[in-house]
Amino acid sequence: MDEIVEAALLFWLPFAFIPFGLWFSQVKSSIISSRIGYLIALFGVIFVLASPWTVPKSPSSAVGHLLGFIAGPTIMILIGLFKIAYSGNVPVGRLSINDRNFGLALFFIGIIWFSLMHWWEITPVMSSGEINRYWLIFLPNLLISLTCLSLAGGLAMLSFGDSRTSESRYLFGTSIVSFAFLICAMNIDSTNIDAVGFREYVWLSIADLIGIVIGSVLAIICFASVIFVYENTLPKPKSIDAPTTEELSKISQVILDNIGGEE
Amino acid sequence: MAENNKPSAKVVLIGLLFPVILIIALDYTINGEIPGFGIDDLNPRIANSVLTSFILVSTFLLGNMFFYGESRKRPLAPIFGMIVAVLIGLFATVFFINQGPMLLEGNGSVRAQLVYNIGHTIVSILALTLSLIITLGILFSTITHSSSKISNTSFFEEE
Repeated sequence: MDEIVEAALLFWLPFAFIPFGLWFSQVKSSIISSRIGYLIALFGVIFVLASPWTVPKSPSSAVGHLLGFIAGPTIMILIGLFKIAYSGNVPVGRLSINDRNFGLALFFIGIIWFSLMHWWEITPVMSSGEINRYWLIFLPNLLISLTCLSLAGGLAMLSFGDSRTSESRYLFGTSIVSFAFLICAMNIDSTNIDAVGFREYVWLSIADLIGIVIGSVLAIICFASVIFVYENTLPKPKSIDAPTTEELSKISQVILDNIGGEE
Repeated sequence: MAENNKPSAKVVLIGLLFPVILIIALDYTINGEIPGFGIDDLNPRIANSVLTSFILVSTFLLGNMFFYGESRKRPLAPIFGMIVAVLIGLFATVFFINQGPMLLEGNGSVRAQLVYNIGHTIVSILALTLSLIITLGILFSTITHSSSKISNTSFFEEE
């Protein structure tokens, strides 16, 4: 089979199945449709994760390779945060202190795992011996956006919340840690990538984030313009005639019959 | 008094941009220029990123347009408008990449660059989404673990 057709059938088609399956699973009228949707999405995820073996020659399989590598720490961080959050003061379904400790352990193991993927031997390396180039896009983007969002989140807590100083410190701490990680990686060589190479990817990531923001804003403006133009072309709704004297007196009678009460 | 010390919404917006400026300034001050790397490498990335994210976000919004159109008597009209927007983005991408090596970031053909752009933007959006979830998770966790802001003394004072 042609290499391009192979990549289209074994990678991009299953990849498209993931959002399609999730969209289809939101059909609330039928439980079967909802389950079929989840099955389609799961089928897509399995094929995408298997792409380094099914289409090893295609450059697209590097995305599947990366997703397989980051799945472990990402799931640990997400489950960890869920357990920590729901072991606090929540009105229903509060988890125990053991769950909180387990969640903390999962969260920190996930973060350390991500760190070691940069500093140690467990960096995502392709079968050709090169570092997965999508990993070099993912890590700087994650660190830069985490630094920015957690700093903005901490400031938002101070700005919009009442007496949230102590809580905002955790977000400022996250921002400082991810910023320090980024600066260290830009100045100290790791096992698999030198500092100069990582600096290039950080600069490209900044360019990437700027581009994503501009492109997304343009798409939203386009979307808003289509709605605006469409709404303006709609005919004005017909106004009904004012109520007659007879109708007004009937309404007054209904109101009189329904208000008041015994004193 | 405490209200006056609160940072304004503008400071929150600056907080989003400040680390990026700080990273650029610090790196440039400590290490100077990167050998063999400059604005010629950054411009194609910005352009490709703008075009690809425009198409991906427009496609996502097209899905929302389906539900919007459903609530109107002529459901196909807004969907048609959005499809035109997606196609314009797609043609603009192909047109700009076809202008020569300007937007080909080391990829041999237009098709290879298009596929790389889509993969690149998906990975970037994944990283952005994960960082947003981590931030919101930490925010929610700190709020649920903080002591209650409603004290009994305030009730007694009111009585």
